[in-house]
Amino acid sequence: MSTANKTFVQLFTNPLPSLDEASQLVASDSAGAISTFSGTTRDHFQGKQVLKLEYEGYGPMAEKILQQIIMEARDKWEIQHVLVYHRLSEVPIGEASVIIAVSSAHRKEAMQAVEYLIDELKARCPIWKKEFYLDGSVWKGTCEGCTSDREHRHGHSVA
Amino acid sequence: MQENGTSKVTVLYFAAARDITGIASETFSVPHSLGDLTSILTTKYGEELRKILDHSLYAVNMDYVEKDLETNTVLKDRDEVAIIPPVSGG
Repeated sequence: MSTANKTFVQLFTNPLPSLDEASQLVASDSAGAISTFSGTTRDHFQGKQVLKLEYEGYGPMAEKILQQIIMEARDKWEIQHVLVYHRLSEVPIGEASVIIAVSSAHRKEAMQAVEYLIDELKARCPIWKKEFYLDGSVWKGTCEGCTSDREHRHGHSVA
Repeated sequence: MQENGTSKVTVLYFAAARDITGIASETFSVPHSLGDLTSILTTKYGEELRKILDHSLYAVNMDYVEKDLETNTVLKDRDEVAIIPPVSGG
């Protein structure tokens, strides 16, 4: 069965397909569970209003890292089909910037794999988010060495 | 490496790094290692880019290079070197 497992990885400059469409792509008659995640753009950061967001990516490497992360998830859990879509360029507030869908025979594997995929994507995938405020813009960045899992600024931000 | 000991590499800039360089990529002749490239880049772009590099990883041909291996990572002709500032996808 593992030979029939499908992987969907794609970067979009247009709006992402819906979670329904993603679920259909990973659906399988032998899968009793489909777990999905959708990350949407927020309108505030530390009390500041965010007017718009832009994502930039090192496309070929981003896709390569996503494939690697998915292979790691397949090693850890018995999952079937996997979909990871990320949006680049400008994303209006409230729209999805990333969607993930995983199918598996039983629910636990799909749910754990989804969590692993989004965590590793955020830690390793070469994609950057820029937030625009009334008084400027900032490239967001997290640091692997940080113990805090909260989003925060590093010294690389620009005014 | 070429006969004269330098390698021609393409350097890609993203996000905060590209804001400083003002360009997406350029080519450099690098004597030996990633450490040499760091010297070349900070000479050209100054303290502002050095701060970014301190918090960034290099990727050579789309593979991350661990920070403590930079000085030992020898570059070859036509390598693609990307500066990867802390990522923030998702």
